[in-house]
Amino acid sequence: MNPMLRVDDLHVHYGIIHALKGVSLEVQEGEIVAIIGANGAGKSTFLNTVAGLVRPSAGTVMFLGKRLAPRAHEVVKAGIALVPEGRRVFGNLTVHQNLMMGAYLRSDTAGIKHDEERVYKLFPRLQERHRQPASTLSGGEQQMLAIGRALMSRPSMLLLDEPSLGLAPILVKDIFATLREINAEGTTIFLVEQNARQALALASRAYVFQTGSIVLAGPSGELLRNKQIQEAYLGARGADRKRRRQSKVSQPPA
Amino acid sequence: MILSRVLQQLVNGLSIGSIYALIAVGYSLIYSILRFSNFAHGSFLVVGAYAGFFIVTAMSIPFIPAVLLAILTAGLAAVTTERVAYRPIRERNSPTLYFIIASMGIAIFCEHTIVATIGPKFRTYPRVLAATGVDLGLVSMSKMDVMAAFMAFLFLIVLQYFITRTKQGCAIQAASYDLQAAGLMGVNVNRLVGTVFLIAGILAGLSGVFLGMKYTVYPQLGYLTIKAFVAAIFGGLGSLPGAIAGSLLLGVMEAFIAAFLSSQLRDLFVFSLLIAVLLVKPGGLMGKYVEEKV
Ligand SMILES: Nc1ncnc2c1ncn2[C@@H]1O[C@H](COP(=O)(O)OP(=O)(O)OP(=O)(O)O)[C@@H](O)[C@H]1O
Ligand SMILES: [Mg+2]
Repeated sequence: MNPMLRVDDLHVHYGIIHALKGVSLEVQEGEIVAIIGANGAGKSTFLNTVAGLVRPSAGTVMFLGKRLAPRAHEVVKAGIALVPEGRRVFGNLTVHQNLMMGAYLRSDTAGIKHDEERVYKLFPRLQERHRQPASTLSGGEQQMLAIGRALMSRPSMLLLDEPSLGLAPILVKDIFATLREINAEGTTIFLVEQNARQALALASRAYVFQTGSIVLAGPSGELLRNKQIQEAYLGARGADRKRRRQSKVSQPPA
Repeated sequence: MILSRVLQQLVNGLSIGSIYALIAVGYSLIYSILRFSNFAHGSFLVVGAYAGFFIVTAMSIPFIPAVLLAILTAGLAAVTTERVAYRPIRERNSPTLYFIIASMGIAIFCEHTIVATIGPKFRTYPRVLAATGVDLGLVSMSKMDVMAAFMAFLFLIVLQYFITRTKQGCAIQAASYDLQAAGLMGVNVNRLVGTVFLIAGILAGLSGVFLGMKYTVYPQLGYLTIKAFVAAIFGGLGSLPGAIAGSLLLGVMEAFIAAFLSSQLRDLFVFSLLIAVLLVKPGGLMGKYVEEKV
C-alpha cells in the first residue's frame, strides 16, 4: 500500500542552525503515529514544515501521491490540518468565529453547520462558550478549540503539536480519548508529544527524534519496553518534566 | 455669536478629521497585520493626489470616475510597494526594523522621484465644485468639504461592514491576531496582505485627492500623514473605530486651538498630545488589542 504521507530526507535550516538533518518517514492511512523526543529535538520544526509554515532546505513531502507545496494554505487544501504548538486560537474572535475560520476553504453551508455541531458534540464546553472571545477560554478549552478548529476543514490527516501541554492529567485523558474517537471516524492522526507514556498508549507506532534526526522507530509496545526509551522518556526521575513547565499562552509572536 | 463660532470650528474640525480618518484607518490596518509603522503611507496619499490632479486636468473624465481612477492608482501603488519591498522581508522573517527602514526608504524615494520628474511646484486642482458654501444656519461648509466628509464616511462604513460581516473580513481580523495561524486555516496569506494594502492605498489615495483639492498638490503633501499616525495611536493602534474616533477628535482639537489660541501652537499641541497619550495610556482610547498583544 502506498503511504498517505511520505517524507524523504527532509532538511531544515534556521540560519546556521541545522534543525532537521535528513528526516524520512511514512504514515499510512488510518493510523495514529506519534513523534516523541526531548526539547529542541526538532519535532515542531518537522510538523511545521509538513504544514507549510517552514520551508525545507532539502527533501520532499508527498501526500496522497502528490508533492506538497510548502505553503500553509495549499497544505490545508490538500487535506492536512495542523493544531499548532501553543494552540494559537484567534483570541480576538469568538469560539464560533474561530470554528468558521477553520472552515475557511469550504462553502457548503449545511456541511459546515453539521461539522460545527460535531465539534460541539466532541467538546460540549465549546458550545456553552460559543459566543465568547477565545481569549477568555481556559488553556484546556483553548486546546479543544484548536482541535475543533482544525477538524472544521474536514482534514484527512490531523497533525497535533503537543496537545497535552499545560493541561491537567484528567483533561489530557479526555482529549486523548477524543483523538481516538476522531481517528475511529476516519481521520489519520500524526502527533508530537513530550508526554511519551500517553503518546505511546494512543499511537500504534512512534518515531523518536533526537537533535534533528530519527534515532529510533517502531510499534509503541516495543518502544515502551525499550531500555533507552524507559530511561530517557518514561523514567520516574524526569517523567513529564515539561508538563510542569508553565503552559505557553496562546498569543501571536510579538 | 460665540455659539456659532464654536459650532463652526466643530464642523471644520470634523471635516479635516474625516480626512485624517481615511489615512489613519489604512495605516492602522497595515499595522495590525504586519506590526510596523508604514512610513510609506504618505506616498500612497501623494500618488492618489497627483493621479487625481492629472486625470482631472488632462483627461475629460467626469469628476467621480476620475476620483475612482485616482484612488485605484494609489491602491495599486500600495500593492506594488508591498509586493516589491515588504514581501521579501516578510518571507525571510526579518526583524520589524527592516520593514520600518524599507518604508522610510520608499517614502524618500517617492518624494524625490516626484520632485525630479513632475517637479517641486505646488499645483492647484481645477475647480470641480463651486466654491460656494453650504449654509446650515449657524455654520457653513464648502461643498467640497461636505462631499469629502460624506465620501470618507461612506468608504469607512463599507470597510467596517467588510471587516466585521464578511468571511474575508473575518480572516483579516484573524490575521491581525496571528498571521501564520490564519495561513493554517487555508487563508492565502500573501493575497490577504495584498488586499489589506489595496484597501489602505485606496483610502490614502482618497484622502490625497481631498487634501489636494482643499489645499494644493506638492511632493511633501504626504507629511500630513504624521498627524493621522498620531490620531491612530491616540485612538488605539490596531482598532479601526479607535482610528476614526482619534482622527475626529484630533481634527476638532486642532480646529479649536487654531481658532481660539493660535495656529502656531497647533502642531506643537499635536505632538504634545502624542507624548502625553503614550505616557498615560499607551493603549490609546480604544486600544484593546495592544494590551492583549504586548
Ligand atoms: N524560528 C526559529 N529560529 C531559529 N531557530 C529555531 C526556530 N525554531 C526552532 N529553532 C531551533 O530549532 C531546534 C528545534 O526546535 P523545535 O521547536 O522544532 O523543537 P521541539 O522538538 O519542538 O522542542 P519542544 O519540545 O521544546 O517544543 C531548536 O534548537 C530551536 O532552538
Ligand atoms: Mg515543539
